[in-house]
Amino acid sequence: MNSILKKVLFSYARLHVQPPYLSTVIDQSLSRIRSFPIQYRLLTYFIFFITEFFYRFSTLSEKKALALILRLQQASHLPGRIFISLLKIPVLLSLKKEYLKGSL
Amino acid sequence: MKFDVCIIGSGAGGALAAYGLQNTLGNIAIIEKGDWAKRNQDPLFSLQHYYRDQGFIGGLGKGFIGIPTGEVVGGTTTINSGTCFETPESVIQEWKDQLHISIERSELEPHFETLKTLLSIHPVPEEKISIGNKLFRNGVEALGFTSPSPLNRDEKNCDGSGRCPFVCPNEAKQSTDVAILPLFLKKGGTLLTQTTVTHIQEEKNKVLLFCKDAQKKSLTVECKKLIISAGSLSTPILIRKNKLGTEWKKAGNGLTVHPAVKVLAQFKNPLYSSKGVPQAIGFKHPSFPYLSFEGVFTPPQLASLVLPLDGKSLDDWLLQYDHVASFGVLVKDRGRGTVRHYPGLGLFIHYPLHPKDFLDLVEGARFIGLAYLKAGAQKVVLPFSGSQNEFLDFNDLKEYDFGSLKPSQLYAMGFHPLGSCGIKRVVDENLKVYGSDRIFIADGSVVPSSLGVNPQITIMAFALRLANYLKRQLKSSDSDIRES
Repeated sequence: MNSILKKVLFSYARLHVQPPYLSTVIDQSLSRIRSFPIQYRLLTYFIFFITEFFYRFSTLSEKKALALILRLQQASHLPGRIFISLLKIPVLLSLKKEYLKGSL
Repeated sequence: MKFDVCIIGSGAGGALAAYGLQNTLGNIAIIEKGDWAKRNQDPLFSLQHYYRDQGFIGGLGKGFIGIPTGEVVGGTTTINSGTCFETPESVIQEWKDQLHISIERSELEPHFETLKTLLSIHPVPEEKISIGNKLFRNGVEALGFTSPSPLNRDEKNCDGSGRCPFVCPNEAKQSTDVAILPLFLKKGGTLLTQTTVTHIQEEKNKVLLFCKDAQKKSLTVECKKLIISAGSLSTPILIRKNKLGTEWKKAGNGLTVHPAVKVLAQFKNPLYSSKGVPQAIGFKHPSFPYLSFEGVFTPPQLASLVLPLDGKSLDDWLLQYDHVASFGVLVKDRGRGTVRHYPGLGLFIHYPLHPKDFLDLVEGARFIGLAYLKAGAQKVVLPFSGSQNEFLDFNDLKEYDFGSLKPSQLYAMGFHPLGSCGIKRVVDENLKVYGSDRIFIADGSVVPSSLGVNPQITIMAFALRLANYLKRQLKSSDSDIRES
């Protein structure tokens, strides 16, 4: 499970984070997931599993990965939005201004 | 352990009930699930340690509404914005007309006065108002409306750190852990922290509480009277689980949450909106009586969660966050939800956003965006996904048709869960659980309907009123408390 989590976190984090900070963000995101209340932690594992095995998220190009994120985020049905929120939250909470790509 | 009165929860209801009773009764215990808050922590630390389920709690219906509540000594008062409103006259009238509840404003007024002094409630001074709030005010005035007015807050020597919802770093906000509980402890009260009540048993002459302490050791507490003040999300669960009273099946219904959204605006120059009081001014729009506009600001560490964006747009807002102002709007909700607990799954809140509340919130968000654009914002972002949400031009936003938006596309929060054990449904007007002789409720769950304003003063006034009722009971010759 750990490798799936890392792959998905990396694929999402690289959309925002400069390469030197990726490992920091991934480590922090992993530790955040591990500290989630049990029911949300299990749900997050499940969502990461689905993301990797149904969407092959880690194999997508940055452009396609972002398109998928935006498609789910902009879905008018609720499950898509909850799904994508739980995928994004660990990384978003680990972001710092100086890590962002645009801060170069 | 034996007490005259046990109180579950140390927030607005529990702490004030204890305060009100203490001069008459010395032997009172408060049982609190959380621990004392550490000051001066990062907002993420506070979110992780002092919010119930790290802030993950939310209501599911046609959309998702986050419902953050405190799990810390002081309850949600420790992590709220500190705004103080007396119960609106119109709401008291509504209770009378629609729910046949005969609580008079005159009964509550003395308690409002007590609270004003006790919590040092006063309007936010002009110099403490955050720049983001002032810019909204400029925009509202430029649109031709009456100027928003400063809100009342409970604080002493606030230095405007802008971190009220993440534990005030210097104890300026007069949450119950700062203003009430130290007095309670000084007078000999007992506060059991990190203690969870797992089971409640009402017997003929006493109530037994079965608890687990921080080390998971079992603890039995006996009391003559029990006041449950665990909050609108936990109190109904305790009532239902333990089948307390005769109306326990109604507990958990009738939940209102004050659904709220916020709009962010980006300006050319840095604003440093996190300085100053973030929730300093309020505004009522004459065309939307159900809406209340209030200042709000999310610290940079959590900003990415409130932006309905991703990719470069998200990065741009995060990089420019020093240039960002924000304002929020809440609705006095017409929708009603339910709270339940399922073993293994935890809390489940069903909250269907009422269609009228949804439309009001969309228009409220548009109004905030327009006010900021009028005040000179370069762009604004509205709390919707799946629709255009960034606007640079005043007229574009004014004319934009949000008709296809659905509640599921709204980024909403509900900050004030109320009504899940409402008066005349689960408790009587004296807040006594129907069918019980010894169990009372004093928290947001008894508030019979949505207030449209921050409920902490209403909850506190109800708790003081309950304390008076119990003191009157004590004076009567057949009181078993006296025997104890």
